[in-house]
Amino acid sequence: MKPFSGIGAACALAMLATPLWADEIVVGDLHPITGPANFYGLPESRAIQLAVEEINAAGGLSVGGESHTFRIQTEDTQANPTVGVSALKKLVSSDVRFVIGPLSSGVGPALFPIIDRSDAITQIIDGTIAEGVTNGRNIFRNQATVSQYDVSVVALFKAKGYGSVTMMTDRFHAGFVGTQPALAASLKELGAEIAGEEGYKLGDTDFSATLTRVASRNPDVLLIRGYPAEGALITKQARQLGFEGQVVWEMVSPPSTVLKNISAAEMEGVYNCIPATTEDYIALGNEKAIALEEAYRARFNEPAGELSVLSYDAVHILKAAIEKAGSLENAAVNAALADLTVEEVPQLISDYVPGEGGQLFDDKGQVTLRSAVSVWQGEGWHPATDVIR
Amino acid sequence: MPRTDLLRVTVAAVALFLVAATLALRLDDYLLYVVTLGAIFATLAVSFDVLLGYTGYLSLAHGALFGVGAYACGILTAHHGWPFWAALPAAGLVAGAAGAVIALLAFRTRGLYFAVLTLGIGLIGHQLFLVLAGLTGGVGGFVGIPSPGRPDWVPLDQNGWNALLALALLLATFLAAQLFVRSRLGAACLAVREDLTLAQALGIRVGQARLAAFVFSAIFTGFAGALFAAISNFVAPESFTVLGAGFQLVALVVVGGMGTLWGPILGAALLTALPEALRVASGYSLMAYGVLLLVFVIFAPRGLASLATAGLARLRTGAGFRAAPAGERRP
Repeated sequence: MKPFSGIGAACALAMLATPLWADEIVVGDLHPITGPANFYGLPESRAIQLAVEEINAAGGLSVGGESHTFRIQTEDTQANPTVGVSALKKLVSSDVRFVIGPLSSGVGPALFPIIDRSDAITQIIDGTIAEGVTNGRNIFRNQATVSQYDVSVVALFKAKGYGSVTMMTDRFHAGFVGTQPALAASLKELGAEIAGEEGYKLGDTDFSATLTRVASRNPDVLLIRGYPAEGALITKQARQLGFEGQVVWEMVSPPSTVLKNISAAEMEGVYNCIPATTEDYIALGNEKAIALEEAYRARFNEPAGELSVLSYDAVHILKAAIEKAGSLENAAVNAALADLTVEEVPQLISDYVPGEGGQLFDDKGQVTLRSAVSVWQGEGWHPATDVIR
Repeated sequence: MPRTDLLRVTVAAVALFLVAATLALRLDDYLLYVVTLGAIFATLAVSFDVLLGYTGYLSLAHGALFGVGAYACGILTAHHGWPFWAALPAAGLVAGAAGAVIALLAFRTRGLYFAVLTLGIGLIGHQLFLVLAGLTGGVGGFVGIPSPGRPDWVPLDQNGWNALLALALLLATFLAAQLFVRSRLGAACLAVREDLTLAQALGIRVGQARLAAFVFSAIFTGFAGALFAAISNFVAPESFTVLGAGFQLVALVVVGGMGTLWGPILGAALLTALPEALRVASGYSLMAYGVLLLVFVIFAPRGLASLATAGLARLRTGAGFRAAPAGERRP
């Protein structure tokens, strides 16, 4: 049976299926529900909702022989560090001890010092790719780091043998800016000349001056690192200004957002170098991803977000750790998370590379997601299996 | 102004501080954090009111000065091991020195040109926070700033201590501002605000008065930045943008009531609490913020302070009251 088949009826029966004496475990859902990053954050929050409903409908969690259910408390970070800290404080004041999120590379580092020194919060990060925001003690992440994104870029360059590249990076994206020197060094090692390093910022709409310069240098590749709305405009304007090389993206980019600023025809053949997202797993025929997509569409009348699989996974990771710990104490759950193996969470959708001993997280609390490259064909992204199998 | 009046203001302010601190320390950590943030923004608003409300000069560089104080505290405590209590005054002095340089440059202009020039300085400041990554952490932010040291004898946890410090800084800023505006320099600032040419003709040292107001404002803005950094343990350039912190300060003072010193505290309380109160409908939070600004500018341009004053007068006399219409000059 598909995990989500009949989910509507299952949810309606959830209260009947779940023992009335079941205690609730509150999960803090910390994502940008509003603001400039809500097109990432809302689908993540909704995926958490679906996973929790699925778990509760199936009888909840068994902790030390007692039955429990999950309840979500959602707080909006608005992708703003100050608002994010305030949201976390609100969760903690409500005695929430398990948190999933945040999304933004600006919010993650702001929350880190607060959670790092707390022994009453366990965090699973399902969004931000910024470096240095996990500790392997009580902060874990099932999303890739920027460095893991870069691995896919390097793999593409290796496969295609590109000779030169100009990078255009969102200069306010902490993660991308932080790893740019290392990525440039890796590409140089492969023999690619760095023809230029340009910057832009979220909300920019006219890139003609920069792109005229890029076109005049005529690099083999224009590598765009940032967010999809600007990525689409840059791609479109680069083509209009005569750039004929390969356009490569490095960003989570829902087709619905991409197509607001560019036609599908103009996107044809663009590569995207990030670990597989919801759409990739669906294209690869992953049954759990397809089931999540169907449940998401049935519930919200739109496709799941690119990162929804990670949020869905995060809830199941938390459930597995709590059940493994047999306790709701943070210290016990933290230890269980550190020791959790990929095999112990059969509901996982994303393609995690197990560590030695099969562990899901490394000693810093970080997962390794398998590298992937997608190519735009028709109306959306498809796995570029000729580059990375 | 009579000395007894200053004494009365001081006693009232200390009493209100004690009441606010007593009430705040009963709140849970989340509400305590909102109070702490509100007190820091109120400190910023009071110090900004000394410049905007008492000289009439609109500076858009104060968001960057807030950042100068924050980063100075972060660098001194996290990189050089200074205790917070040494870094706090140093951060204020660094921001004050930066403010003096900005003032010397900006006071060559007036009115709209002054605002545009300080806007440019605010933008440069924000860019410097991004570019000087070795010092500031760049776009990734400055991580690992130590919390304000809490003496062992204080029977409060760190959150309570943070709130107490923020309220104490607000009290100190308010009293210092009261002293400043009652001084000869403060009187000169008022003369500058009302009629610069006349003030110059009367032999008032206009340049000295304006410079003093700007530097005073910058120092206390720096103090607020330092405390914000220590309480947050992290700062990033996006907290100090012209469009963010810079315009927010203007909003706090306009909504609260320019040239009153206590009105901006009400403005900060309202505009800090509002987004938190609207968390459940945060999509409407910014809209509510904008509507509030519109309402105040059109119907109560002298801010909450004028509404509160008129309300009190009405209670005393039993007569009707109205807020001053837009464009009406202060007495």
